[in-house]
Amino acid sequence: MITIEHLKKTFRKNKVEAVKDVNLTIEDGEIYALLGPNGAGKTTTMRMISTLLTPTSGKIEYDHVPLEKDEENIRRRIAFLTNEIRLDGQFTPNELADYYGHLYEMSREQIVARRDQLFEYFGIKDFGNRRYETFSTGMKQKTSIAICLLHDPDTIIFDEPTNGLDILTQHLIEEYLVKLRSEGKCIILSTHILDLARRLADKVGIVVDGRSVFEGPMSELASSQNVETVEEAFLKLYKDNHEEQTIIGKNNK
Amino acid sequence: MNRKKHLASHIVYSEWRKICKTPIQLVLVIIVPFVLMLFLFWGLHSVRTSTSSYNGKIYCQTEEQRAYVTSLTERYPSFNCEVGDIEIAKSDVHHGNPDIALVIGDNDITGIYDSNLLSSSKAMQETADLGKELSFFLEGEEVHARYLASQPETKMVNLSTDEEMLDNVLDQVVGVVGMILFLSMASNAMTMSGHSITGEKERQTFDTLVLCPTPLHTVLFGKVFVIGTQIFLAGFMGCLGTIAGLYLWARSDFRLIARSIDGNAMWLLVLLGLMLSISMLITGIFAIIASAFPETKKTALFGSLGMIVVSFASMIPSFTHTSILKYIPITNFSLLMKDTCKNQIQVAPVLGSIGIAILVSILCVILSRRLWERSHE
Repeated sequence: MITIEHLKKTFRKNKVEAVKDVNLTIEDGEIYALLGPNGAGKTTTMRMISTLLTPTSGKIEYDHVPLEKDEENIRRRIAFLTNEIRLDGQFTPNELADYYGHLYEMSREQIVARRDQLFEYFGIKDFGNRRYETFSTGMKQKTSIAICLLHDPDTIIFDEPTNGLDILTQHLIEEYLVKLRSEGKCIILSTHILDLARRLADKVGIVVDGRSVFEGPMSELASSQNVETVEEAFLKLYKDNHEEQTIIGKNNK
Repeated sequence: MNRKKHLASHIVYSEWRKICKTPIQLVLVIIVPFVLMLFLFWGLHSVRTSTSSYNGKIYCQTEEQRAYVTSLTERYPSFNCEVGDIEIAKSDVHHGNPDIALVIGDNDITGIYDSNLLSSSKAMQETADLGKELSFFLEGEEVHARYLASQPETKMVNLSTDEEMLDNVLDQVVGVVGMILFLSMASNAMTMSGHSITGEKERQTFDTLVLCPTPLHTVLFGKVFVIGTQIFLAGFMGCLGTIAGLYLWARSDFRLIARSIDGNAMWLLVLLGLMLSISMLITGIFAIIASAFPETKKTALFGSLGMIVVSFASMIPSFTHTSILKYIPITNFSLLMKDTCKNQIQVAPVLGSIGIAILVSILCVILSRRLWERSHE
C-alpha cells in the first residue's frame, strides 16, 4: 500500500513548481490510474514515488514506512518503467537479466527461473541472445518490462507503458497487468489515455496543474461530476481546476 | 560490506563486458598512447637529424681514390666513402640516404643535397670544408699534403659533463613525455566518463541502474574503477611507447639513461606505477565530477578545462623551481622521474604527494556528492 500526502516538487534549476499538492492512496491488489493532461505533473509524481526524484515536501509511505527512511529496501520491492527508460543496447536480453538480477541480489537459479518465465510470456525467449539495440520498439518495451519485473516486485509503477506500441503488444501488457493485480500486486499506471484507464483501473486519481482534483473508483468518476461520461467528467474537472493565471501569464509573454 | 563488494565487482565485470563488446574503444585506449609516444620520439629524431647529426657520403671514381679518401673521413665521421658516379649519388640523396654527398669528378667536386630533406647548417659547413680539402686532393697528393700541413690542428672539446648531458636529455624526454602522457590520460578519462556515465544518462539507461537497490556510490565506484583501469592502461602503454621510442630513435639517450638508472630500474617502475595510480585516482575523481553533469556537452566542456589544468600543472617545473613542487601530484611527475633517473631516490615527496592526492580526492568526492545530489534533486 502506498500513501502520498501533500506531495510537492519544485525544480530549483528552472524554478518550476511541477507538483503542488498531490494526495493518493493505492491499495494492494488494485490498479490505480493516475490521469491528467500533458504537463500536469504525472511523470514527476511517478519519479518521486519510484525514488528517482526527491520531493521538495510532502510524504510518501510504503506500508506506513516513510520512503526516505528505508529507500534501499523499498527499491527492492518496486519496479518502475516508463517508455523513456532504456536498457544498454550492447547487451542481449539474457545478459541484461543476468546483470540486473545480480544487482537485485538474486541467485543464479532465481534469475534463470524468473527470466525463462517472463521471456516466455512476452515472447522474447527466442531472441535472448540478440542485442537489445537491434530490437523493434515493441520488443524493446517488452524486454524492458520483463527486466524490470525480474525481481518479482510488490509495487509496479508504470508511466505511460503502452505509448507508441502496436495493439498486440498493448494487449499483451494489459493482460499481464491484470495478472499481476490478481497476484495481489499494487499497480500504479500513469496515462492520459482515458480508454486504457477505463479498461484496467479500479481506482483513478486525476491531477491538474500539479494538484490532485479527484480520487475514487473509476465507476464513480462520471457521477461525482454530475455528467454522463468519463470524458465529460475529466473535461469538467480540468476546466474547474485549471489555473487561469497560467494561461494569462503565458499570453502576456 | 561484502554485499557492496560483490555488487561493485559485478558492475566492474559488466562494464568490462560492455567494453569488450565494442573492442575498438579498448584498442584505442591501449594503442593510441603507445603510438603517440612512438611518433613523438620519431618526430624528435627527425628534428634532431635536420638540425645536427647527418649522414654524408663521398662518391669516388676508382678503388684507389676510395682507399685514399677513406683516410680523410677520419676527421669527418659523418662521411663514408664508396665508388659511384654523380647519377648514383643524385639517386641516393633523393631517397634520403645519404643526407648530403660529394662526388669526385675528373676536374671538379660536386656537392649534392636536397633542401627539402636537409636543413642542418652543420652538414653544410662540414661538407664545404671537406669539399675544399678534396679539391686540393685532386691537384695531387703532394699539394694535398701541403694544404694539410698549412691547416691548424682542430680539437673538439665538449663542455657538457655526462651529468649535464643526462639533465638535458631528461629535460627533453620527461618533461614532454609527462605532459603528453597526462593529456592523453585526461582526454581518455573524459571520453570514457562521458560515454560511461553521462552518456548513459542521455541514453536514459542510467535511471534503470539508479532504481536498483544498489547504492549510487557503489554503481559509480564500479564504473569509475573501470574508467581508472583503462586510464592506467593508457598511461602504462604510453610509458612502453616512450621506452620503445627512446630505444628506436634516440639510442644514445636511451643508453645514457639506462647507465644512469643502473640498479634502480625496479624503483623506477614502482615510482612510475605510483605516479600512474595517483593520476588514475585524480582523473577518476575528476571523471565523477564531470559525469555529474546531465549532458555530455557540459562534461566535455568541464573535461577541456580539466585538461588545461592538467597540462599547466605538468609544465609548472619548466617555469619555476621550488622544492614544494615535488609534493604536488602530476606537477611532480617530471621532477621525481628525473631525480630517479639520476639515481637520486626521494621517498618523502612520493609519500607526500600520495597524501595530497588522497586529500584532494576526498575533497573531490565531497564536491561530486553535492553535484550528484543537485543533479538528482
